[in-house]
Amino acid sequence: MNILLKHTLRSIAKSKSQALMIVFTIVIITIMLFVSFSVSDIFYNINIAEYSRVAQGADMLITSDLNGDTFSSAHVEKLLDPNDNVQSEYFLRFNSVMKTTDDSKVIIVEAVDLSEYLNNHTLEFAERWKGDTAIVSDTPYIEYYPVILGETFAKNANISAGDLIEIYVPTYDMYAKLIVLYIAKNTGIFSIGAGVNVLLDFSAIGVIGVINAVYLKFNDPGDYQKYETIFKQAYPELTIEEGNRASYAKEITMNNTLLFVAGLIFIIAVMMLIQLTSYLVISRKRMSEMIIFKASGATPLQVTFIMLVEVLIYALIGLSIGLVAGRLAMQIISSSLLSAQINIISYPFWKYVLSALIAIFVSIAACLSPILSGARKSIRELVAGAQRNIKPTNLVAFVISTVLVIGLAIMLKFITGIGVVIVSCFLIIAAGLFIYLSATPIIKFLSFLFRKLKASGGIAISTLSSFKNKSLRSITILLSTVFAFTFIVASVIDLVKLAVVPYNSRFQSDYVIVSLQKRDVAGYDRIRDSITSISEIKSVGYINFGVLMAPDNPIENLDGYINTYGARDFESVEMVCENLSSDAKERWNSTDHPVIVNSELMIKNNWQIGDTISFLPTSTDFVDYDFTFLIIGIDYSVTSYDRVMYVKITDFSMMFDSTMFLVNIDQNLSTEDEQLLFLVVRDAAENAASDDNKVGQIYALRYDEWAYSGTSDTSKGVSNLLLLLQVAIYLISVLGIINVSIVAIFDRKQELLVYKLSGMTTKNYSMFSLGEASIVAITSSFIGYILAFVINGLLPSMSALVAKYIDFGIFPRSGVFLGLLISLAFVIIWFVVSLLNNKKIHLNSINERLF
Amino acid sequence: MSLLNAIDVVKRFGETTILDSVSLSVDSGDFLSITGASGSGKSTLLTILGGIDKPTDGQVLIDGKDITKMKENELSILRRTTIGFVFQFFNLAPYLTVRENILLPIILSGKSQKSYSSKFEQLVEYLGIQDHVSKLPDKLSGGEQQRVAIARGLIFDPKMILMDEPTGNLDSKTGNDIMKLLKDINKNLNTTIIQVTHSEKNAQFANRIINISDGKLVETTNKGPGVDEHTA
Ligand SMILES: Nc1ncnc2c1ncn2[C@@H]1O[C@H](COP(=O)(O)OP(=O)(O)OP(=O)(O)O)[C@@H](O)[C@H]1O
Ligand SMILES: [Mg+2]
Repeated sequence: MNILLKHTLRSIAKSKSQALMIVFTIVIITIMLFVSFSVSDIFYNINIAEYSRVAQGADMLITSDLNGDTFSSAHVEKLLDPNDNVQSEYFLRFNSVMKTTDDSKVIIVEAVDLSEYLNNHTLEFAERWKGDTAIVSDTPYIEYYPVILGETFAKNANISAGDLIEIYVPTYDMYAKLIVLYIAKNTGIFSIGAGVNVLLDFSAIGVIGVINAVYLKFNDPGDYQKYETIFKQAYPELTIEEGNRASYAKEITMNNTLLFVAGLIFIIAVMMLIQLTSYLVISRKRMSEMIIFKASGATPLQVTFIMLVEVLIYALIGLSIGLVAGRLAMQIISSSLLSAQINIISYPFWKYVLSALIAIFVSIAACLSPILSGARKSIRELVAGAQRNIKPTNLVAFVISTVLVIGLAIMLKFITGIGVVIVSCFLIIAAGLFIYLSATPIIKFLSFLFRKLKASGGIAISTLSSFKNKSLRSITILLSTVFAFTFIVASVIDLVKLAVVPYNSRFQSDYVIVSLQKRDVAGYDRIRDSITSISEIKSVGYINFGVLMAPDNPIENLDGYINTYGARDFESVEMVCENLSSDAKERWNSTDHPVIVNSELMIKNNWQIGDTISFLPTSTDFVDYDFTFLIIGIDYSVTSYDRVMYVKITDFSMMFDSTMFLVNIDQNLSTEDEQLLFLVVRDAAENAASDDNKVGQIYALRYDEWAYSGTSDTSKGVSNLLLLLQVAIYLISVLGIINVSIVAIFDRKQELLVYKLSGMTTKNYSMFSLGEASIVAITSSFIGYILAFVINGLLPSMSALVAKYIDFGIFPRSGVFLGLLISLAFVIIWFVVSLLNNKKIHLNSINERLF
Repeated sequence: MSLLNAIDVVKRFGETTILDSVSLSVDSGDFLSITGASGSGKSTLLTILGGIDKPTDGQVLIDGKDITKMKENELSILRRTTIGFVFQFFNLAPYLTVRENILLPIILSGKSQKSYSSKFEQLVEYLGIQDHVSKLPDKLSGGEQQRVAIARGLIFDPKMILMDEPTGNLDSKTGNDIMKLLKDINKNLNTTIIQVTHSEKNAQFANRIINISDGKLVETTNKGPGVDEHTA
């Protein structure tokens, strides 16, 4: 074996723990890279899954987007040229409610020509009703029309083949009673596990030829253009796009991927830092070798090469493990997020090669600076050892950078447009300068304060040495950066999570009863009272829903629409608003036309409590009404959509679409009693609402079902993945801090020996470590907080990503919490590592030379 | 009663016996040199005498108390009240100034630094390092660094100073100056000094010379040229 290689291997064996650390970081980097090369595939597939489920390979979708508009299948058929051989599939899809004997559930009804659908698509059946063999809708054998459910949904709703279910059909204001003929496996149109769709024939709900979606499959791909033109002309109000809505999915994918990549860059940066610190230790240990090599005439280039070989060995081991682990990780991620569609993600050779190359590049880049500085130094400098004291800070520069950072951050609050970008750039530069310059003066100032408090003992030593110690400054800078980075990643990910909080989760109650029929207040009160009279019911409130527009908003501007609720009384308001101020009730009752506005709207429009705002109706039918209100309170709910406000029902009874009764029940009921109560409430509401044969357009749901069941797997999958990333970032930050602490502490053998020889006791030493840790922690959290404050100024532009208006406040409160947490973690880590080190250092090694 | 008494001290590293049941008694005011071939066990003996290392067997009494039985914390207190140390390398804390390095034992013991300020001034002047008190150690020459280490060893008026090759790292002129200084300190302050050296010449500054060989001590009472030259 080559003598140099042998030598290198022996040296690796000498620094096992740091070598392991480096290999570990390379493994993580390789995994992250490998995963990230597929992450956009993952996001894309998560997003596209819902659409391709129904599309089943169709080329074009023409739809009214479930907005209530319908059109005629016969008319569509007429537009298709028979010579083109276009295959068409018609759907009437709508959201509805399904009743079983013991529950009510939100569903998506997908009505098709069932016999044709089953001819064209193979569904795998998990369970089949044994009572009859007929499939087709109008066989005389069955009394009820058949319906097909997905396996997961049926299991969750506790339904088996042969059960009878009732589905609400809004067109007739009736429940259609259907028999569950099949339970289908989660493939094809039922392929999303948590889906709530039911498949039935048009006739089952009494509609023929009325549709709201059509899928076309072309024989000749060139026909897409042709029919796009034809349908745009025939149906200007409909959406026409690719069957699986690929462009829409791509856009979402892009945003998610960007976010993920931002997190990834942070992880790689911290990993590089860990590598650097670990390698510093190794290279210091190898300096003695370097001296000998140099004394034997090795050139700096040769020395560099010798050290690089070592890094390459680490990289090769790390990336081999990393590639295998990355491939495995992908298997786990894709099978847990994409279930049926694992094979959509491919692993071409380039993903492996590129991950490996970047991992090698990153590792060498991280270790290059200690290698080069070691190689360049003369033997004399190497023997003297690296004294690492700090040059005094330029106080003027420090003050200027501080003023700049704060000034620019405040400036950001008041400017708009391209100015934001320019100021942000300056701010980032100023912030970088500030971190670098501020560490030493702040440490010095704190040391001075501490020394005033305690002028002797272990703490006093720490106040004398810490501001001269370069590695403590490096740790302070690292810690502040980790703090700031964690803050930014946490904030952005929180933003994204916000964007997937279901809208309905803003309302609080145990049951929700939705009524679609217009009544007068007395009519609603009658329904409310009949529910209130049930003994286990605690309270019932109700709100009407409609839409108004903010002033100065042209109709086309979707941003101007405000979901407006007319609340029956203040108790109803309290069920739907978060964090109302204590005087809101008094003002609601004493004001003629009060409105409570969600905080997002307040920020977006720059409104204040006490402002009088005149809103506009969305339809010319109501131009004669006056919608002028006085803002008396702020609702602080945050969900995916928060353009919401609440007025008195009497100010809004002329225009609304629907009404929600919010029912709160006795919390001490047993599960069985609650089951019964729900059915009683459901019946009571229907009885009070119905007249003749009609249901009265009313249905009751448990709160969770109503608020959350519409949430798609898509958003859950994305937010889970981002959560994973968030956790990874926290863990890796902690790991980075631990490693840097270990390196810094174990590197100070000589310093500690001197202290011990001068009579430092264990207690002295503990206080010394604690003093150092506190100084570093306080300094870092101070700097980190200022950075968080700066980043906070940048966040509103990021919130545009999820189209939300959020007030971040000048001083980020979450930053304080984060700072405390990181500081505490650091103090504990530093203290523990110091104590461990104390055990390792024996005074009798005083005569050992470092080289 | 003598200040330091080593009785039947044995030190073994595995199979090899470095100190083979040696005894030594040092009186207050003694200046003792320990000499011997490289690897003979000089440093080992010194660290045992100073309580830095423990013997395999035997006792080391300082003021009648057996330091081999002491806990680490008691030893720490001994180091800032009774024994000062100076070694060949790395005697100074890199992130403390000269002043802070010298006052280190005082700060650690929680005593008031003020009450030692005149002692401090006196020492730095005596040792000729008064111009360097605000510097960090890396800005000092080797000789200056050793003087700072000696000052720290003396700041709390120790009964004795233990030194391992204090001038081994210095040129002969500087080394000689330091040795003269030590002789003065021994005379004027009546501080007991025990030094390890492999330099025949430096050994002569002491009034007692002990040679280690094959794990045994042999004492040669000194009346050599070093002393004559110095006292002349
Ligand atoms: N921790 C240890 N483990 C094993 N052997 C040791 C240990 N420390 C010292 N020795 C051995 O004990 C012997 C005496 O060492 P010591 O350092 O006392 O010698 P020394 O007389 O000071 O030599 P030098 O003049 O070279 O400094 C040497 O042979 C050394 O190898
Ligand atoms: Mg020695």
